[in-house]
This record gives sequence, structure tokens and C-alpha cells, in this order.
Amino acid sequence: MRVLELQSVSVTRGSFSLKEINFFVNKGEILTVLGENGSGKTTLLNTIAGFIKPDSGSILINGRDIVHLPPSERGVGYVFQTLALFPHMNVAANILYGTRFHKISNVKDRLGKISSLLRISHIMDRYINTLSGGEKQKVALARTLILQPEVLLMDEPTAALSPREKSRIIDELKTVFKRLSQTVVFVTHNVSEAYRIGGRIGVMENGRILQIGNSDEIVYHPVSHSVASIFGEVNKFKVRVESCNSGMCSAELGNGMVFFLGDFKVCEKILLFIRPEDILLKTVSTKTSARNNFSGIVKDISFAGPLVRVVVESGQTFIVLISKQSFEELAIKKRKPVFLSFKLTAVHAVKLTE
Amino acid sequence: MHFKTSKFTFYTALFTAAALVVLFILLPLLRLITLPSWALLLKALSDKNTIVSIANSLIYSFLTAIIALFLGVPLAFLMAKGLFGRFEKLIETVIDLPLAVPHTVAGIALLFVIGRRGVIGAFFYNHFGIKFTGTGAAIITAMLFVSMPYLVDSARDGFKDVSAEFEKASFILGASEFATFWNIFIPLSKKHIESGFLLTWARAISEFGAVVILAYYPITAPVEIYDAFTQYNLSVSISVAAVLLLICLTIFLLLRMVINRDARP
Repeated sequence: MRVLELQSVSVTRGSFSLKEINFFVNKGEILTVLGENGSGKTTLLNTIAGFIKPDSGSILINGRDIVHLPPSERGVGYVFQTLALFPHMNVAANILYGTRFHKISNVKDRLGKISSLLRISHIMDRYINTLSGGEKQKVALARTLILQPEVLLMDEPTAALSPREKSRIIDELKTVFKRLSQTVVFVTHNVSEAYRIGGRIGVMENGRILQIGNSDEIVYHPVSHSVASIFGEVNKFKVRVESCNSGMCSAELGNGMVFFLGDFKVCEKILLFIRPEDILLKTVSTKTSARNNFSGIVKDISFAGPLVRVVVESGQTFIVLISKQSFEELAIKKRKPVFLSFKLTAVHAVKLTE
Repeated sequence: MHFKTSKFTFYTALFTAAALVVLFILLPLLRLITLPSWALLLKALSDKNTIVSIANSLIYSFLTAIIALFLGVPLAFLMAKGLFGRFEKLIETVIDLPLAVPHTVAGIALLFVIGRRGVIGAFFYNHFGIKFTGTGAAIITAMLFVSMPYLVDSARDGFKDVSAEFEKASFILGASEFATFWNIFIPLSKKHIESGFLLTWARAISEFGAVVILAYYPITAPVEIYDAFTQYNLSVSISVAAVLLLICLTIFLLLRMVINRDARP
């Protein structure tokens, strides 16, 4: 069941705008909106919450258009990036704040349940400035969840946390949301966080949602270069389709031929993406099951954390990521000849629209 | 500039300047309190006129501060939220005008409004026989005019400091505009409003120029002091002045303590 649905919502804020946003979130689903700072994520949340009026389009909650309703009547919960916990109230007063404005008969029950679910029952009397980052996070969540919102909006909720707290909180959030079958729109600029949450991801850029899908779809079937590059550096090649027979295509690339899956017209110009970690690098030309094989010269070597980034010139420049271990085993050096191979399915072809 | 001054010289110079300022304020006040003999002080305190004038000053100034609170806080809130739009700068300037106008000028200007022939005063006098000048209402009017900016400015700064996300959070949790104002903005600006209230009260107590033009009587302490100074002798005015000073200092020290005790970590 679709709890939240946006139908071609457009918003103008000065020189910035959200353009034709369409998506839905099902009951109990967590939709992650992933995008750089300034891509329009917060504007999107503020529009759903009712702080910003859209120029056009509809926002439906359980099928009812709420565009004309004020924030207080939308049934939307919002955990702000700063959390916005009231510093002049203790934890209990913060959590209970919203219940004063709603007809709720079993306030005490709900407070008990939500605070034990989030394991914050022991800090009810504390003031906000005495809490740790993780505790604040949970209080902000409890304050919102006690009203049982139809949709919960979370704006970079882990931004202020330490890396260790971050990963723990994400797992806790997932558990809590599952228990409550809470519908959530979760905004983040952090790719690994989006991965970790696990549901569908909407990739946002320049006020548009470029693609929505689960993480595999977005990593392996990106609709454009910007989506592909969200998950780090990616090999991008513009090629002209040479042949396409029952889903199997080929094109000229660098000093060889590249084979990939797809359905394109001959001579059509398309984009190919190949993730650097999907390319196998060797120093001898052995036969592999991989359909695509290229030979080239190492142009550059640099270290990227636990991985090694190797740039190979093969008529086209390939970027390859390999582990430190294989880097040492292969004894790769600059200007040495190497061989690259990758599977048919490692190549993702997209129609050229950009 | 490239003077070779050591850190020590630099801070010695600053502290010297600071000490001069503190002395400049404290010396005359301390001298005034210690000048009159106990006998003279007691005599001043037993004089009905002195007591009445001091009581008038305290009561009217307190009422002024209360009125300023009720009229000034809403205005300060609107200003802080920028709800006057393009008139914002204009309103801001108007609110602060009394700080720049000599207080005798303010008194005369007010006379043409609430005086018997003033635009408002005439209406009340002609229709109801009510005269403002020479009443407590006139004193409060004069005090309010000159002291209101302190409350408005201070409360406005307080409201401005309240993060916009607190307001949004309150709205999304179901609170109305008024509930948000009352439960979020007022408590979070409490310190600013309190100190604005104190400043307004202090300014109102000390007002002489505007008050003396609108209402010589009922007599207030500054007018009584001036009266004694011009008509009798210096020793009477000194005694009244010293008593007024002591009372004011006591009140403000007490209030400051109360406010600081309230402050939460």
C-alpha cells in the first residue's frame, strides 16, 4: 500500500528548484534519498512536511492530497538534521510535547512503550545538553514516533554522530522501524549509509530524482553517468554500437572490441559504464571465461585506502581497483604491460541522453 | 602600526582604561551614599514627601515596565520574525527614536498629544472632563516613551536567537502559532526579556526630563530631588538622592540574583 506518493511535484526556491518529483513509499518501507549537499534533499523533505508550498503537483498520504494542509495536520513526523530538541525541557517533556496538541488517550502507555523500545527510559529527567549524540538522536525520534506519524522524514539524522555511533544507530533505527512498520523517507549524502539501510534508494541531483531502485539496480544499472559516479569513480566510455543480435551487442573500444548486453540500434551512440572493481588485472595473458579482454600499459598507480588504483592505457584509459595483496603478488609497476578482463555483465550500457 | 609593545604593556593599558571607567561610575555614587550623615538620612526618610516621592517612582516605573512588557513583546516578536517586510528598517528606526530625542523634547512632544489641548488629551478633556497632565497616567506615559526601546530591542534579540528549526519542530509536532510562541519562543528568550524588563524599569525610575514637563505632581523622586535642590538646600536633596540610590541599587542587585538563579545550565 502506498502511504506517501508525490506526483510531479515542482518547487521553486529562488534560483533553485525541484523539478517534477515523482515517487511513492509503501507501508513500512524505508526509502533513502541519496544526494550531494545542495541537491535538494532538504527542500524535498520541507515540501512534504508543508514548510514549503510546491508550485504544482500533488502530495498524497494514504491517497489523500495534503498539499493544502499546514504541517501540523499532515500526519508527518520530521527528525531535523540539528534534531531541534527543546533545550529548556527535559527528555520526557520533549517527547510529550506533541501529545498536548493531539487527542491521545493513552499517552503514558505510549511514552512507556516508545522509551523502552528505544531504550531511553532511564534518561527521562535529564536535560538535553547532558545527553550524548546517540541519546539525543533517540529522544528526537521518540518525540516524533509517539505521535505515530504516517510518514517519518529524517534529514541526515546521523550527521552529528561519531563514525562508531553512526553504524550502531543505523542498525538500531532499522530494527525500530521494522517493529513499528514505520514508513520512512531517509535523506543522506553518505553512500555507505544508504547501502546499509538497504531499501530502495532514490538518487537526487540538481533538484531531480534521477533514479529509484534497490542498491544493486543503482550500482549495476545506472541510468546516467551522475548516478553511476555516486558510488565512486567509474569507467565511462562513449561508443558507437557495431552490432546487436538477440541482446548481445558489440562496439569498438580503445584497441579492441567490447561486448555487452542490451538492445540498441546499430550505429547508435551509447554510454558504457564499467566499475573499476569489476575489472580483473593480470600480468600474463591467460584464457579466462570473461568475454572482454584488453591489453595495455600501466600509466599510474595510487593508493586509495585498502585498495590500489591502477590506471591502464589501452587506446582508452581504464581505471582498475585491486586489493593491496594482489597488487603485491602481481608486482605491478609503471610502464609494464598488463591485461584486463571483465565479464559481459560488468558492462552497463545506457542510451546517450546527456 | 609597528610599536614594539609587550603583552604586559598592552594589557596594562587596557586594564587602566577599564579601571577608569569603573571608577568614573562608582566614585560619584559611593561618594553620594557616604556623604550625608545618618541623622540627615533618617530625617529624609521620616519626611513624608521623600517617602511618597520614592514610592511614586517605584510604583509608576514598575507599572511602566509591565505595560512595556505587554506592548513590547508582541512588537519585538514581529520584528524578530521579519514580518514587517520592507518596513522593517523603518519600524526599527522609529522604535529607537526615543533613545536619540532629548527627554525634555520628548516631554513637550507628548504634551501636545495628551495635554489638555493635545490631539488625544483634548478629546478626553472635552468629552469626559478627564485631564492627563499632572496624573500618574502622565508619568507612566513619559516613562514609557523613553524606556520602551530597551525592552523591545532586548526581546527582539532574544527571539532572533531562537533557531528556526525549533519553530518548525513545534509546528510539525502539532503546535499552533500561539502555542509555539508561548512554549518555545517565550521560554527560550526569557533571559533577554527579563533583562529588557529590568533595563526598562531602571530607565523609567531615572526619568526626569519628560516626567517633569508632563507631571510635576504627583511628585516622583527625581523631581523631588530637583525640587529640594532648587528650593531648599543641598543637604535635603543629597539625603533624598542617597536614599533613592540605595533603594534602586538594592532592587537591582536582588533582581539580578533572582534572574541568575533561574538560569538553567
